Amino acid sequence: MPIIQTKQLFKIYNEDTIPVYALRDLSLDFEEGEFTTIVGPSGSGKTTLLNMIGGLDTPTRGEVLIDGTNIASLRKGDLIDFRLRNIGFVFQSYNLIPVLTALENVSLIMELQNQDPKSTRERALQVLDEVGLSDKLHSKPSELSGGQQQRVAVARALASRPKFVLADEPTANLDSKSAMNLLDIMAKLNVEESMTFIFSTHDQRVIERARRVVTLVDGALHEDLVKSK
Amino acid sequence: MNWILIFKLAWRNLWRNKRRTLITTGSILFAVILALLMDSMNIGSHEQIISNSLRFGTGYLQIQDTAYFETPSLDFAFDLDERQEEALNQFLGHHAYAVPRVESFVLAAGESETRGALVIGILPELENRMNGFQNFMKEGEILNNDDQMVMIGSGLAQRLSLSLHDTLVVIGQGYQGMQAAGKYPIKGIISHPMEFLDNQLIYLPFEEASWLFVMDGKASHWLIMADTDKNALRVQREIERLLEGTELQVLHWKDLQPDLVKALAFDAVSGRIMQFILYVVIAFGIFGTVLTMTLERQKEFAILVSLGMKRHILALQCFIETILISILGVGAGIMLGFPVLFYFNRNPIPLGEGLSDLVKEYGMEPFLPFSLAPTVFIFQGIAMLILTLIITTYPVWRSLTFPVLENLKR
Ligand SMILES: Nc1ncnc2c1ncn2[C@@H]1O[C@H](COP(=O)(O)OP(=O)(O)O)[C@@H](O)[C@H]1O
Ligand SMILES: [Mg+2]
Repeated sequence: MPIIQTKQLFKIYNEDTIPVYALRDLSLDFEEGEFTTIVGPSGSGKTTLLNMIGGLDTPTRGEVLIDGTNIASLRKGDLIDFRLRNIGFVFQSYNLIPVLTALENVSLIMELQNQDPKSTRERALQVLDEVGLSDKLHSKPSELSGGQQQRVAVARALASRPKFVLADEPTANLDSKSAMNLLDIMAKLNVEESMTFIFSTHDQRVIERARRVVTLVDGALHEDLVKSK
Repeated sequence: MNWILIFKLAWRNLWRNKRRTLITTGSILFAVILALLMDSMNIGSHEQIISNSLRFGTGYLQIQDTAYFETPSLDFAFDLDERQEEALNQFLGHHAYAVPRVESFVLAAGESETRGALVIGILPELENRMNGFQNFMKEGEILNNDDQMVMIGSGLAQRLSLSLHDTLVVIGQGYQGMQAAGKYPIKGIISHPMEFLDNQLIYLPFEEASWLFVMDGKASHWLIMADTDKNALRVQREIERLLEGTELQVLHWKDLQPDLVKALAFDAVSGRIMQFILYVVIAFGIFGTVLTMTLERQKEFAILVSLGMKRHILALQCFIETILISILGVGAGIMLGFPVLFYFNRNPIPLGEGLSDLVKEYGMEPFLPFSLAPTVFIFQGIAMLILTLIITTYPVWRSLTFPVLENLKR
């Protein structure tokens, strides 16, 4: 069974006046372990789709199933808990917690999950090592470069071993070297941790790296391309 | 729930903008010290006024004939029988004692002037134990039990143009309308701390007063002194039981001086109003900080909630932040305020011109007394706590209701 399914997903703004179709009849399946990019021009609905899958936004019509659970059926508090246990987020503008160090940011989700402090620390150290930041454990976000911050954000997203990681244009604010470096890391983690990644981008170099490329135009599916290995 | 994480976040957020937090806690600190000073002075002067009016006036309790309070006439004088006196002494124990009094208004005359005056028949030793009146002797000597002499207030002496060893003439009405007249040499002149008494006071030994007013040893009333208000109340309950079914009653000083109680209450309220204004000012200061701390972090709140922090935990974190600011300010205020109060308690500020009528009428020492009563500190703590609780409703409400998606996009 696919880990994520969207069924006839619609998001329509201003339905009563001049409707804006941010998503239009989108039915997609994502399998465990996939490394997928959502591409499309600005305004094509990438962010809307990811927010929908992440339970941050609610569809106008249609549904999102995660492991068979319709997330619209969850109560608000349970939905937050559901995100905490199942979904990792990487945002375009890093969005680390400024008062926490790299190590603390990466530990945050596991601490919110009330995991054992010792294993939390071990896991955080391990993931920070995997993203190449073992020497920045105690740096605050303000002391890190954009690329480093985004690597911390990736480490934070997957440290708690969520079912999948959603990354909305994670490389958009990075220079090309940092962007490629981040992609390498994500690709490596996809393999090593068999982590499912779905990320949006309109960066051509990024698209080349992905195995599956879902293209949106005006909120509708334009192309769903799976490259052979 | 991960308390360590929540406290860590709250604490770090507090120091994110060090200067702002320091200014806020600093303003709380100064306000608390100011409020402490105001309160301490208020309570201190009230304590002094009460203590003076108890010691020089009514005593903690009075045993009187039930009609005496309305009509303070010697006709309502009484004796305690043996059983009553025994029981009374037993209640009093070591924490309290009883003082019989004969009190009556008379006409007092010197060589050329005549004035209304108040004769108080006293047992000098007990009187001294009660109010240390010998410390206020201006001239001459203190009375003995068997003297046939008087001690008078310096104000009265002046009004009657009398000096030490001059003769004072007293004319009045004794028990059951009998004539009361006497001629007494002045053995001492006292500067009574209460102005209105100083102007009319004549002390006679109890026995001599009893003879003058033909009382045959009866007292017009008894004062009860106690070491604490609590003990006084306990004694009052026991005496009440003892006097049940008799013509006698026991009254608390608050019943005896309703005007004083009212005046103090009024004064306390005006003090509280000043404090309230002060607190409103601080409240806005704290609120300003809390408001900016909340609004400037809306995106961060949104991130935390999207990552999986429940809103009520976020609200708790905000709550703790506000409480911490207030605890820091109040704690520092009390820590710094205590030595200040302690200093003024030990070294009272001399009173200048602007002293209140209340103090003039009831008070004595020309110093501004500072109280170190725990209520002074407890009140500030509770007031600040309530204030903080009100203020913190904003960030708490905000973190429970803010829209995640919009703030995430910021
Ligand atoms: N709150 C909103 N109100 C109205 N229209 C919106 C709102 N949010 C997004 N849209 C519209 O939805 C469409 C898809 O936006 P988005 O998902 O952000 O695209 P992308 O991420 O691909 O750039 C756009 O046309 C955008 O203008
Ligand atoms: Mg977008």
